[in-house]
Amino acid sequence: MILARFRLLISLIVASAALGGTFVFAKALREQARKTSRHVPDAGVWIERRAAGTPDDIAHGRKFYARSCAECHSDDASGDEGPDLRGLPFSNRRVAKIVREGIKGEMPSFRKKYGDKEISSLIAFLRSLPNEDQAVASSSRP
Amino acid sequence: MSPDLFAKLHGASTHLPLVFVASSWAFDTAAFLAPQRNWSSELKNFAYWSMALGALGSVPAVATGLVMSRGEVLGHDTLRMHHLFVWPAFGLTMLLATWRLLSKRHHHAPARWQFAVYLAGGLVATVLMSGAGYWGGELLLES
Repeated sequence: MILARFRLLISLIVASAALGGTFVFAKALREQARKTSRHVPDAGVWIERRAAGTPDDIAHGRKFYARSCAECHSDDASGDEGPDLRGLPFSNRRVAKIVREGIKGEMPSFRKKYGDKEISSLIAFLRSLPNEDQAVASSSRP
Repeated sequence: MSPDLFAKLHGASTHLPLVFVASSWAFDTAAFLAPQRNWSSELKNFAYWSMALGALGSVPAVATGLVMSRGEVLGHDTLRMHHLFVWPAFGLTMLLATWRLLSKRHHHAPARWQFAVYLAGGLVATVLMSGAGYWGGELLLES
């Protein structure tokens, strides 16, 4: 009887508790992931596991990068006019889509210049680069 | 445990709340629009249980998704879009399901206008869940 009378209030409490509990659970999962990994968890890795490129792929990708990307993203991909491309938090499919279609008003499309194979080499090269933390650590090493 | 397992479990479990919440809304709306029909009370009964199953089904869907993304509640890009639909959909579904379950008793049956508001909420929850499903699909299938 009382439950039915205060159903809206009870419903709000249950919904808030469900969402609150979910976020507490999420926080615990993130904490656990931090303890087991040196890096902040990257959800993209779980959604699409990235295959390492072969040395040939990476070498080809390096060539394409130097030819078409370095001008805006700098030689070491640390970013210049364009953003830092090391440790991209996107899936390979997403990166390929951006390379193919470009970003309106920011980056040209490379669909006509590069095919799927070239783009996948380019991505293999980008994935082979150390992320910002690793690059800083290696440069500060004596 | 393998992340692939949670990806599969998430894919399997997310369809249940979407189907149940959407069908609950459809059954309740039909019963609301034709209260004098013989089948109206049967539809309401279906809608009641569908909503209960939808709310229960949303818990494993959310839990497996969180394990799969290592507790990421927002993320970037497409994952962010997915989550922007998921959280309001989940909260609203829990709210509506609790209200619907508590409104089952005839002594305190909700007024018609209250039920209309509930149906509007059900429509919003269905749209939000569909949006979450769409962006979830984009995460896996975008090319």
